[in-house]
Amino acid sequence: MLFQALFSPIVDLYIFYRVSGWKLKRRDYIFSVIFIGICVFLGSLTQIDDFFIDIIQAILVFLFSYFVRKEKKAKLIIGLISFFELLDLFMTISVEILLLFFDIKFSSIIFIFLLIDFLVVCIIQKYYLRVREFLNDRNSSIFIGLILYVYFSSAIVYLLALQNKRITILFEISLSLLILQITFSIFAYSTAVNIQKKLLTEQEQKEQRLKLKLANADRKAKEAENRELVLKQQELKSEMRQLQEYSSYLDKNEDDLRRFKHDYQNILNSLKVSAQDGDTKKVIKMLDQYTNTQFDQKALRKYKGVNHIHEKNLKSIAIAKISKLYSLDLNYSFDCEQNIYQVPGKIDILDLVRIIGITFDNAAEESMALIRETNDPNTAQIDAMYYQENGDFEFQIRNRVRKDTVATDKMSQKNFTTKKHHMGIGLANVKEITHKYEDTIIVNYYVDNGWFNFDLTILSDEEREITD
Amino acid sequence: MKYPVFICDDDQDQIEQTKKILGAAEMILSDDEEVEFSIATAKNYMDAITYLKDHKLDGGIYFLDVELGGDTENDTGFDLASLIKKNDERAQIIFVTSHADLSLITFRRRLGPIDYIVKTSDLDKLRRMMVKTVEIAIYNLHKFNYMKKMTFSYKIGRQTRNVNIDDIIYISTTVTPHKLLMILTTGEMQLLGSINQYAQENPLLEKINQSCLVNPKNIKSIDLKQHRVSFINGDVEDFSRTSVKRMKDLLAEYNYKTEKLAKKEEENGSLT
Repeated sequence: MLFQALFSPIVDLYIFYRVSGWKLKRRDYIFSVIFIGICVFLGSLTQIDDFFIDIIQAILVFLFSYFVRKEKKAKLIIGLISFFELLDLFMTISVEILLLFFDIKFSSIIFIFLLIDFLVVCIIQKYYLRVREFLNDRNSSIFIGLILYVYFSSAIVYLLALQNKRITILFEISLSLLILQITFSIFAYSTAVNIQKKLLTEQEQKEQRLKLKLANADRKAKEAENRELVLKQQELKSEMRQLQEYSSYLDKNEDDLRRFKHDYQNILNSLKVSAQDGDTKKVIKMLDQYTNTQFDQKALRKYKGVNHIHEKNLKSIAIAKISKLYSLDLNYSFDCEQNIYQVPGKIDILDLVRIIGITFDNAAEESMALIRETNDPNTAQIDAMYYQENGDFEFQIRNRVRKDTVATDKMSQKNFTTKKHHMGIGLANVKEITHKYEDTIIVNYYVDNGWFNFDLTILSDEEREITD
Repeated sequence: MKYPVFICDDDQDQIEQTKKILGAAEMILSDDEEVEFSIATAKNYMDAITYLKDHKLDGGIYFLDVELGGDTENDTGFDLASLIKKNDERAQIIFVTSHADLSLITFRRRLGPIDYIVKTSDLDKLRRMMVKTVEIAIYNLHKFNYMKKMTFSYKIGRQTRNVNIDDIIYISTTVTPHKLLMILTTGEMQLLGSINQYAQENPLLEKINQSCLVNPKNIKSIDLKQHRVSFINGDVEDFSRTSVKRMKDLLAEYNYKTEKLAKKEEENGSLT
């Protein structure tokens, strides 16, 4: 039996390492030699039975794996140990059964052992991956528990029934019980796995429900988008109103001009009379009076420059914002000297319109705040212009600011606008929009001498090619 | 010191009034040094051009009526100003106008800083404004050469833009090739070009690494161990190994605080 005492631990270790898949290192070889040595030594002591050896083996392997190898998956180690112990036990049992059924000489037992060892090695070689999976998957606890269960019941059967080496009723019953146990374990395991699968499909259903919910949310987002569209339409309508206001303003100017032409003749006549009389004071007084009553200077200059804008989006935003400043009674000037027909580059004109709108709104807001602070409407001033030179389009706006509005050290910090205060959310939005056009748009903003300046340049296509 | 002054107005009364106020200004402003004006006048665009052709002024102060008589579409005070600026680089131009809502923004863009005075019947107020404007003009004339040296210039298209070097904290590259970001004490600007080019043109600025040009005046503290500097606005930049010696010189010159500096995370993500 010494032979088997040597082979059995070797096969055990083989199964253990094969299934675990751990890389073998020097300490593993040292441990193996010690382990086999201890097993052979224990095997030679006749007063110790197999079950006790198994327990010692299990403890040794566990201690080595957990403390020396520092494998922290205790469950996996227990699974591995119980697995190879179970196989070991099965091998012993099968040899015993063979010995009972066939009258085999003692000397050939070694060959049977060898044969069975060889068989087990072959099976493990083929299925070790599958076993490793069982030990690691979500059902591993059930699997390990069943192995332990089968192992202990087999061990009991083996110790009680097979020790007396004869076919007795007790042996037959035990064997059938053992087979029943094994069948039961397999059945239990597969049932557990099936239940798991069912749970899984339930989870899938849950996921589907979740997806449905997501789709709903999507739909809601779409609805919100639609609402936004409606809002935009309203905005367009208000812009339209402003355009209508502009055109009626032009019509009225036309009338004023006609009336002036009519008045002019009369005034000239009466002036002539006064002048001939040498009454210059009266002439000046009359002229003054006429000017004051007939011309509203501010109204006359209301839309100055707008007639040079031929790009309709740029024109309508200018009109809309100018009329806003006018109705807020703010001092402003707007300039567009050159005729502007189009904007260079592949810029979505609506993005540009948004930027212009935001900066005008910012300027108006700050001006109102300034007036509230100083109580003098003349402290506020907004100047804006469109400019086109060499293909570049420029937009500039500046407005007087309160003394303490801008903590300039904060403003000049990189990305300061993302903090969404100081100059308002507006500037952060502008930055976000211009981010799309890094290589076409140049944006500057700074505070200088009580003015906040914002200017934006869209580089012409040629210029961009030069810089590329 | 004697300053050439040129007044162009189609209203003789206005010219006389301006002369009178300038006379008063001579007295008021002659505090530290004697201020004297040699005044020339013109009544219309053509006269003005003829006079200025014969008398080349250097560092003159110009009072120009925006609405010069005649064809208002072309020969306005603005056109005259463009011409003057071409001939007299240091020209201090002051527009006189009757409209409070006069739009100067386009001309500022073309000609640089320009001042203006709104005509008013309140003589006291007019005098106050005029004296103040003249004082600023004289100050600008004095500072002109110094300011020119202290100016960082760059071009966008045909336009040259100027920034006071003292306002610059640093200039760094951006993700877009050829585009640079200039952080100012008062805001930020984007410009085209390369760090090396601007480093060469502006000896007052210091290149601390391949992608960063800084104004040594606006460095707050330095971390020699980790090769970092922080600026007065709180931003932190690394400097390269090769500029260590130069940074030590600057440290000795400007006496920066030395401290351990940590680089802030880029906040680009927070934009979304």
